[in-house]
Amino acid sequence: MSVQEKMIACLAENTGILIEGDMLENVKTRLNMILDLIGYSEASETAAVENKVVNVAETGIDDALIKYLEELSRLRLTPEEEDRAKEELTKILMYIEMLNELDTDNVDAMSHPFPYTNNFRDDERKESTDRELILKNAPQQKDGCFKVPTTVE
Amino acid sequence: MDITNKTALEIGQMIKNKEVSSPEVTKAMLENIKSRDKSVNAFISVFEDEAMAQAEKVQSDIDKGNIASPLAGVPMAIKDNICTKDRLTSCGSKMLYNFKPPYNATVTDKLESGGAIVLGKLNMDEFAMGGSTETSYFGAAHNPWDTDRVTGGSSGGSAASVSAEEAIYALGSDTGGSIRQPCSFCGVSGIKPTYGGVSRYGLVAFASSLDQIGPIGRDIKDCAEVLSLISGHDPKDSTSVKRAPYDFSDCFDGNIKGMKIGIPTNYFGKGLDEDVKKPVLESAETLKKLGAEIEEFEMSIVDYAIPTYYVLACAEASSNLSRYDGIKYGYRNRDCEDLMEVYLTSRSEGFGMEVKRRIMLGSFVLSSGYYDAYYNKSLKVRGLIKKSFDEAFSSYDMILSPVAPTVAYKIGENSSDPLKMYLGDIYTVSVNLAGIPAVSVPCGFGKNGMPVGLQLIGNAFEENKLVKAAYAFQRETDFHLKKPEIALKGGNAQ
Repeated sequence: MSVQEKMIACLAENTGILIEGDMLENVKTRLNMILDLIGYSEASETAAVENKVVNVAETGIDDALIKYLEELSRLRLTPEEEDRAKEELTKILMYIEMLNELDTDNVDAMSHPFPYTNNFRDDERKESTDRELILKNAPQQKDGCFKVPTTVE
Repeated sequence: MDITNKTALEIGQMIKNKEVSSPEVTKAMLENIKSRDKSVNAFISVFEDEAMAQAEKVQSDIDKGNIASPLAGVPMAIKDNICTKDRLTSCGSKMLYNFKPPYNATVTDKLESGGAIVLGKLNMDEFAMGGSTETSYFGAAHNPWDTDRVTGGSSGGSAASVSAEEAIYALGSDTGGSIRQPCSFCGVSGIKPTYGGVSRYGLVAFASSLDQIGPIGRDIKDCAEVLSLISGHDPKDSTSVKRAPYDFSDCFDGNIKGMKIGIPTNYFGKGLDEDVKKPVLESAETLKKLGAEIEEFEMSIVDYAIPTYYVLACAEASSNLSRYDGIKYGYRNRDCEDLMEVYLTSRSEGFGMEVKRRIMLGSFVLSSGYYDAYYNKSLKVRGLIKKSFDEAFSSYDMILSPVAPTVAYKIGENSSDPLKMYLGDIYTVSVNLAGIPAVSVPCGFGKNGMPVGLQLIGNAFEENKLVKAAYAFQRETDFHLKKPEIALKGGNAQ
């Protein structure tokens, strides 16, 4: 099943909205555009899966993994930067390995310093920030919107 | 009379007594910045005209009796990752080289309503990632005690500006030691508050479960006054805790008789320079002489604090920094023909290498396949670290330790080895992981004359105990009164 088909199946399962017939191709095309836009590729998913079996602290970070990390991070390194990053990240990950000395089987994961409950405020109407003020920092703008290169032909 | 070497509270009082005016002090500080900052590079931007106009306005409010804050009219400066409306907030990065936020951080609002005069914005490691202020896009900051040496970081500009008397006090931020360590390197005082004690609204996010804003000043009393001004619940930050602002008014009697202070032996082992160890242990003796009960104990979990911290801080950073896409604000490569190119080139050209390294490390530990082994494991160790502190605070009022394993090192000495740089955070990061408060105060000097800081760590929201002990210590000692040469020569006579 392709990612697009999975997404459509998921939509049907969660919302009961069925996409069939002529609409199906149309929706798939649009999903493709969105996936393109966010830089999704099935190849990178496969690379991730293959990487899983590798103990990085033992083998070090290889070319495929550094490329994958660049892709996840939306960064593009020069070949020299890649070499340096491979070496440094490997060294750091080897150091991090020491955490495995600790038995944490019966410890709860702590994502925040204190146990927080929802911290609600009163729902009052307030002015939002002016559109013009927000746009003042935009590298490019047009007609009161952020301007980006053409994304859909 | 030189007014630029006084404490914030002294100057505030002098302004109230009409011995000096806010515009006079502000002008004197701007003069100091002009003559000294070429060699210190503590400031990224200086708001000369705005500061003078603000001083005139605040002075007239004081004269009319409209502002009561003891800090009213006192000139200060703000770390460049804290938003100042319509004024550059660069985070020390090319990515935000032109960013003028359309709003103030809550702490900026609070300072201004308390009559603070904002002299400018302070240098820092890019996106607060670093311990030396060498990764700033605007060039390294230089330690006022020896300009060949680093200021520490990431709030290096904040600590250096106070040390060189270019600001009376400053705001910094602390994610893994970024207030305490530069305070130690530059010989000034600072407080990393309890997580949730100060609003983070308008603080450019690095690692949201660890970041806190805090004060840096000439003594602990100034820091306490600033902390009570900026603290308290803020509806705009759902992680700010619902409690009243700090009140330190009963912390200044110098009486610490019976206070129980624990010294974790693990903090004094391998890797700690003799230059630091000696003055820190002597401080423990001083506190003992003042009536505190000192006891050694073991806390072996701290050995695991650095790997835990770097996994979690980088994970949060990789997520937080995904917002920099070259579209809404900040740096953008304009020659791109498709959107993905805009993202890739803007981020690759806008971020420096340390930031890229941390984003990639964060992406790695969060990626499917590695999430459990690294991220989840670290969250669990974080739980163990918190538990260790809870146990310690069931026996002790506070913990005494060094701030950093060394005094300030030479610029360039550690910058080629990231892991070595990370190891310098050994005594500070566990405090952020546990969300608890700590202070750093000057406690001596190394053989080469560089300042050394003492760290006191307290239980959540027990800053008052730390301030009390630090005040008693400063009343007994004069390390915080020592000045670097740069602040002695060229002092601005009035």
